[in-house]
Amino acid sequence: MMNRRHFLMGASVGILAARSASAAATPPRRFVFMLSGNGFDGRVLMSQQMLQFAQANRGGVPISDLGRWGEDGAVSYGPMTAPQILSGDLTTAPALVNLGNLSSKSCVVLGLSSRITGGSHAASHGVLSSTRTIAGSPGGPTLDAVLAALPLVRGTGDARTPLAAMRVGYDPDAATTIAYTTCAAGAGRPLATLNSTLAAWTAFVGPLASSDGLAQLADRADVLALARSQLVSHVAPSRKTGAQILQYRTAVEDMTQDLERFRAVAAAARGATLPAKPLAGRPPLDALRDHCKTVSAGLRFGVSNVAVIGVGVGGAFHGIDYGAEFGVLAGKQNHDERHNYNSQGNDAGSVIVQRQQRRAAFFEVWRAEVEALVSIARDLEATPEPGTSDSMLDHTVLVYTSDNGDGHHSGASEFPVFMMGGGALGLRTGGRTLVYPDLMNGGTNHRQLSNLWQTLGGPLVSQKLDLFGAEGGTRVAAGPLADLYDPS
Amino acid sequence: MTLLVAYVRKMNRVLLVSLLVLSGCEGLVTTGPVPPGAEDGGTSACTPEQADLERQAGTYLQATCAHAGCHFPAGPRSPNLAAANLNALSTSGHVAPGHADRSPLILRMTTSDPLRAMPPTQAPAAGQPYVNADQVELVRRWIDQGAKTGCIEAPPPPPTDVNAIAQNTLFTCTQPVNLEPRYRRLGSPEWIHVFGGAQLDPAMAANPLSDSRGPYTTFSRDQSLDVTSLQLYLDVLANSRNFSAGPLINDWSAWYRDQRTGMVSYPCITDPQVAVTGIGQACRDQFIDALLARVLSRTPTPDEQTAMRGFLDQKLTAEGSPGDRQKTLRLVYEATFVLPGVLFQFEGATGGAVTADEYAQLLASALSTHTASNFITGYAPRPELAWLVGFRAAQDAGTLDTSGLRAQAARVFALENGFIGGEWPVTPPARPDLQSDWGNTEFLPSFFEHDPLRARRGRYWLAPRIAAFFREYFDYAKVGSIAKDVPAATSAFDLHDPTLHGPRNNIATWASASWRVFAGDDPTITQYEPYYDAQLDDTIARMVVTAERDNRDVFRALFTGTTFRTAASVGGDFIAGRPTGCDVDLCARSVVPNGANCCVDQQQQCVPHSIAADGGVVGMCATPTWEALWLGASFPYAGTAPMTDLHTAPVGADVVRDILSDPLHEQRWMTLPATERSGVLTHPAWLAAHGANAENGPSAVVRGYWIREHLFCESVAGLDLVQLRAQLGGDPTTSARSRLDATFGPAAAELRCSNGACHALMNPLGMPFEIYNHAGFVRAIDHGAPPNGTSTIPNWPGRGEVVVNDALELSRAIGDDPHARRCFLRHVFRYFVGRHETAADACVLADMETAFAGGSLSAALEALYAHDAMLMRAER
Repeated sequence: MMNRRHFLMGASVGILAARSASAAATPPRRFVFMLSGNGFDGRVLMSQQMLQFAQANRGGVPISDLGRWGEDGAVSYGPMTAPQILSGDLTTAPALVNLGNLSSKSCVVLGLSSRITGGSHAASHGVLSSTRTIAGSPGGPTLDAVLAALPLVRGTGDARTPLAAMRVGYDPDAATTIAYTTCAAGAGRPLATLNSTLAAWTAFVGPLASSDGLAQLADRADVLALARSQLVSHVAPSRKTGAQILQYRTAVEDMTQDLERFRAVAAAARGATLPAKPLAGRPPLDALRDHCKTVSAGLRFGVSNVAVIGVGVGGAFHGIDYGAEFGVLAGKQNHDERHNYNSQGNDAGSVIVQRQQRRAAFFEVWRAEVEALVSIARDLEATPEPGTSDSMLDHTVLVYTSDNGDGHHSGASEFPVFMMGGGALGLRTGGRTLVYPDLMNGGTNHRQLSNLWQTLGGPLVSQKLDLFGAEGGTRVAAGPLADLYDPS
Repeated sequence: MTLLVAYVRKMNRVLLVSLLVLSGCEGLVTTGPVPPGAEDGGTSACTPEQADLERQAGTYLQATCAHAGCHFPAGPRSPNLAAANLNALSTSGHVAPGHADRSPLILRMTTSDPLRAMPPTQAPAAGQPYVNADQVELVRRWIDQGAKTGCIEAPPPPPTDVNAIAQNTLFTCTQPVNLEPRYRRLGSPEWIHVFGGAQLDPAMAANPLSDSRGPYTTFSRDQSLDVTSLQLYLDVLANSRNFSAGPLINDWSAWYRDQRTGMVSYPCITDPQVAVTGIGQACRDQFIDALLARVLSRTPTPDEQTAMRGFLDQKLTAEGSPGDRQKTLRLVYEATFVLPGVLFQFEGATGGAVTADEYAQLLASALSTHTASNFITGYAPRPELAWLVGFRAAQDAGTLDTSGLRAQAARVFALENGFIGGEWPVTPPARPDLQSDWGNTEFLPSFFEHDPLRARRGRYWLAPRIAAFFREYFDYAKVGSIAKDVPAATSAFDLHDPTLHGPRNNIATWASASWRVFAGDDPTITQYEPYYDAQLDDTIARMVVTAERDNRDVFRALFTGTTFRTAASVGGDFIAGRPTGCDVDLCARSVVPNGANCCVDQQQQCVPHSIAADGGVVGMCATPTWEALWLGASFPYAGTAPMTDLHTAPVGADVVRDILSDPLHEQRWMTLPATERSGVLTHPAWLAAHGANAENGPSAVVRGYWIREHLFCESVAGLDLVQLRAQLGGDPTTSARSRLDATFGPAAAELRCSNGACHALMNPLGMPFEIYNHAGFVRAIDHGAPPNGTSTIPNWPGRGEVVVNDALELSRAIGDDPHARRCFLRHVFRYFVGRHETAADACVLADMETAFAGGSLSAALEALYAHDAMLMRAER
């Protein structure tokens, strides 16, 4: 039941027009993954009740403000033999203070490790694939690619989304708009991420936003036909050059196949209020907000049902300057500030003060990241799902987690997770905090990030997914996280 | 899409409950009874569990251990732990099949000895093992079950580390092997220039072609387009209709519309007054032929002509009105850019010999970021492509057989011909090689006069692609975006101790603010003095050009040169009317501006201006914006900064002539004391680009890493597989050397980091540079002690242990080192060929080395491009 229904002007018409053909079919299932580059401190997701539980479970010793999870045992949730499910007020968590009424459609999951990914600076493709990226080459498909390939997610016929996924990111140091560090179609087959807010908007919203954009799609059909004619008849002189031509040809054919769907989606969105073209060179969190607006529009208007949003992922966090919005971090380089995040044994005097100020500023950064994702959730909550009495949020799972465990040079021992929506898919949120026995104390009761991905890629999409990733013998337990979904 | 589908049987996990008792002697296993099932060394049929264990153990060992620089195929670390090589591992002596307790591999994984623990991890909590118990158990079970291999299809081996190939092998020619036929994908700058855009335009720069999966941007050449990059590519093509590329010379239609005279070619089709029905076949053919020749930079194939001609007809037929003619032609223009022949430049496309057209493109790519097609009628070619005039003439005359092509290469790479570099005369144009786009500045004074910055650059130049190689090889272009806390700390310019004057002092603030120069933040900033990276560009150009010209060794010059291009210092009267003469020290202490010692205008602050003869600092009042930024570019040197370059009217064409005729222009060349600088590795741009954020941070690690990989061609295990805290320990108030010793020295807790795969490879090479701070300033004092650059380098390839006193001695030693010289040539090969070298390239590398014996880089490049292997292609 929605508390607030504000329809984007013309949006409901556009959306209904685009989706009316599928109203009688299974409603879409959407997935949005936001990854925080170089990791974040899971304390930002810990509600007061969570902290009280942990303190009690640790024999009265509270979780300190500093210290890391995992291999050095500095921080843990204490001895646990089963997951603890807490129902406190999520808005008491530092990053969730502005969650408002969405709290009831949100949950936090703590205690999941993903050691297969390696930790250190970034897990790259490993986060979403539960494999190890070696020298930039992914070890397996990422969950977004797995989901995007499912007919139940991408849709069929007139409900098929023109794009398999929207993948966007932010990298201040990149000399290129496109990166291959986060998503993968399979082992050794990375997928591209658009690191420019303008490029992402142009690709995903541009055709919907103007008659020029729509006209460009029409022109594109002829151009693709021209390319295809040359590629089909092209004889390459070697295997390697043949592979280059084949990849290009496959791209042309894939794009051609869905061009008509894109034109239909764009036409249906005519007259709707869409996000404006973003400006280049904005500070990182503003760029993230721009990306979220683009992704939100893409989801609501049926451009794609899967999205991955990264901020400084895959090692691209080094040069991020968070800017004036975040006080003491302004003018500083993210990599160096991350090094100074945790305490050293001999900290004293002004150094302690500086660390506290730095910590507070990073908490604000992560709160802002979460709220950028929440903005998508609010748009979806305010948009009815055609053919149902639900909102689009009920048919969308949004996930916020780290691309590097719990921070710089992590041991990949703790991947804090925040999730929203997905009620109609069977995801159980309800404002809960689920704490799984952590790596140090959990033993056979410990669970891993791959179990979470198995939940999303299994029962939530009506798939039987026995395993996910390549942890092999280091996987503690098979199967999804039973406490997270409604099996009915 | 594949998913891991094998069922994993529910396992009974046995926790490691205690540390193993180490055997007294951890040698390789040679004897001992073998349990049932393991007698035959793994050739009998496998049980499902054994197959599962082989897969899992292989996955773990490969992911954790088989990495570049460590236990890699053909790597320097034994044993090879790649999953594809488990059979060799199981018979290597490091594994006792059936007896995990006696296997050295398990002993290394379970030891509590920090010197021997594998893989390297940080110290665990007391009583905990170094390696995760689950992982040990996995490998233990595989061994106890007989260390079976062959149960599953072996996975493909991980990529070979190029640095694991023995360097001697790479320079020993035994069997000549030609390069393969190649489709060289255009790089971003080439594509932008072909299209007719400007690199500064963000819409054009958003193209996906700069994506490179390798260490150099040229490694993108073997890539193609996937669906996302294709979408981005098409979006950029379409969006480019709406931007202004600056001077009209860069408009897409410039190839047929002369912006200077207004003359429009091919009026039979370009004139919108001509109806579609009036455009004849011959006109259409002519237009398409000219368009393709312009874009392809070679003769189009009949197939390409037919396809584009058909597209043109289609679009003309669909034209709504004559007013749409420009739009129609624009669509046709864009469409050419999806032709594979445009996106990819062919090398040996027909198999066998490289054609003249292909060779023109190849040579163009060696010198320029423009393609061989960047000619506009009536405009002179770019300086590094001027050889194309003679090349095309020879091509038309039919004299370009293989020997003819070699002769062209010899002509191109001869310094005296002025294509690969040289020294520009004093009179304008200034640095036309730096002009990004088409045209000759004589025709575009309006373009040039807005760029007086180029007039302040040194006159020595290198062809853009060669200059780009040095930028990427030495990796210093990023210097402007690296934050530095108190850049002048510990140097002669570090005048204020924060503990005496408060935690935030103005100089530290300005110095920090001055470190980052973002072009575009304020256009006036970049119009006055080139920043560190441009200064090093010019310094390298001078080193290379003068060495080539004087028949000296280029490699040695790069590491011993002391003549640097510097920036002029700011002048207090730079802008007329600003008061000067403040006291930097007193002004920093005084909260209230008092006029005499500080600045009257409270918007200004007293900043260091220059060093007086008595060593004191002369202050000036300035706003802490662009002045501070300019300051940062002039102070890294211990000696007096160069004189001021004053212009009160920094706009207009006159300023260019003033600058070029200004004798102070040459005073920006400073020969620094040999006790202060020696070569590129002692230049502030390199030092800062490879320096930490803090003065006492791990700069030595970063610098040592670069040297190990780029001058010794030895890999250091990547941080991406290391689960370490990796924070510099020690007292944070002490020197970097002290902190590094505390973290990695013999008494350190993190001894695993010091093992041979990691910091032992880096730290000793970086310590000599501790005579400089993190920003490249010469240290005057280092936390109460004289700056100390001494270092014992235990693992210098070919020399063993080498002791140096400082970076100056290290740099000179590198300049004379044959191993480093060969490594440099390998990087030249990598960059210009756009891929890693292999053993099959040994004959090419050997010939490059022979050509480089006299120290001429141009000779080495000629040897590469004129090589038989380059001119004749065969699939390997």
